[in-house]
Amino acid sequence: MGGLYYVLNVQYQSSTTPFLSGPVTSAPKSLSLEVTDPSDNRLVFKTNLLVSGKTLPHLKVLISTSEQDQVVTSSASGSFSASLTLNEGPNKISVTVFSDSGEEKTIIKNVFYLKEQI
Amino acid sequence: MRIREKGLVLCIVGLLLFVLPLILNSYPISHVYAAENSTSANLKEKLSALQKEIASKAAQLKQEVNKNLQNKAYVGMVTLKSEASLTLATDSGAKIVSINQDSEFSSNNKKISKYSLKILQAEDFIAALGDVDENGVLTAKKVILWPTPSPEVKTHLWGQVISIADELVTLTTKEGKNVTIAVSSTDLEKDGQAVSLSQLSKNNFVIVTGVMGKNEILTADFVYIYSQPAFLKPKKIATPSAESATKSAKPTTPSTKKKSP
Repeated sequence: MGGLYYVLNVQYQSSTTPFLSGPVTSAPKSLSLEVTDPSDNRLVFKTNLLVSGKTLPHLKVLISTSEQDQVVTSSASGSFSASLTLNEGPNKISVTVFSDSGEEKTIIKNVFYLKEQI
Repeated sequence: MRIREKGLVLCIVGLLLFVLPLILNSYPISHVYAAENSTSANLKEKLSALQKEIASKAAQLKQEVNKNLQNKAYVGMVTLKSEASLTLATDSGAKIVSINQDSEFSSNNKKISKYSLKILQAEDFIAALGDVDENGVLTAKKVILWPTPSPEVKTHLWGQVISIADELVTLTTKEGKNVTIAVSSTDLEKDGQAVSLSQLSKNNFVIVTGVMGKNEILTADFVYIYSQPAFLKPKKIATPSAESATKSAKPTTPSTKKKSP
């Protein structure tokens, strides 16, 4: 009987001080951007290059070179990718993510394309 | 008790005293020994598996690191030259290039057909290609003289359309600033499809790339159009009459009533 009393009245008693551990809402995530491929100062021997990375979910990502522009939307997991055509020589690839409020973050990668392998 | 009986009893007791401990000790010992044996065998197996996993991950990491160190290109202007090395000013800072007898020199600059370490001088714009070591020094397999690129003028901006007049579109940016973009010869894209200017509407959100002119009008190369629920709210600025009314108002302190006991 004592055990039953304990279980019913003591163990499962609701807290009289809710939210003691803090608010139920979570802090807004700050805009993040990571470009996993290509690495900076990379030397490639093919004209097509896959640019990939990670940011927050469902955001617009602008991938630009001096001659090309593409906008892709990041997936539910935040990953994104796009294929670019490189010019022979140095290529500056700019990757910019935009939040819904217009906040932006940019990463630049330099890639050198050479037709003949060294 | 007779001697014979006594002897028998002594025999039995002795036997018990000798055999019983043996039986009692050997069973737990062998049990414990077997248990210990199996425990240590398990530990050894786990340790071996862990070692293999660590070795495999280390090999993977090494491959990753090597991948990031091999086939690199430093592109920039030569600032310092010695017999065995060059210092370049690149977009990502100063970089050191190591030159050896295997380094090949060539020119992609039409003005100079032949190129070598002797001809190379400060302010040459070059591309040094090779592998990078853990200190970031690139050992050049090839050094190519490259035409100096023109300065980068392309820019981008994000905003919401507030007006469209012929081929001039006015946007309001995140900072609340109005920017005009010229879209005469521009690629417009909406939902992944190429569209015409007629598809652009007021309140659309756009991402634009182009070149800012001296007249503060951005000549757009590319416009990406999309819609989203949120609208940019204009900054609330008080009118002069509201400001003067506020200044004239006298603050009142709330009266506190003492509760009667």
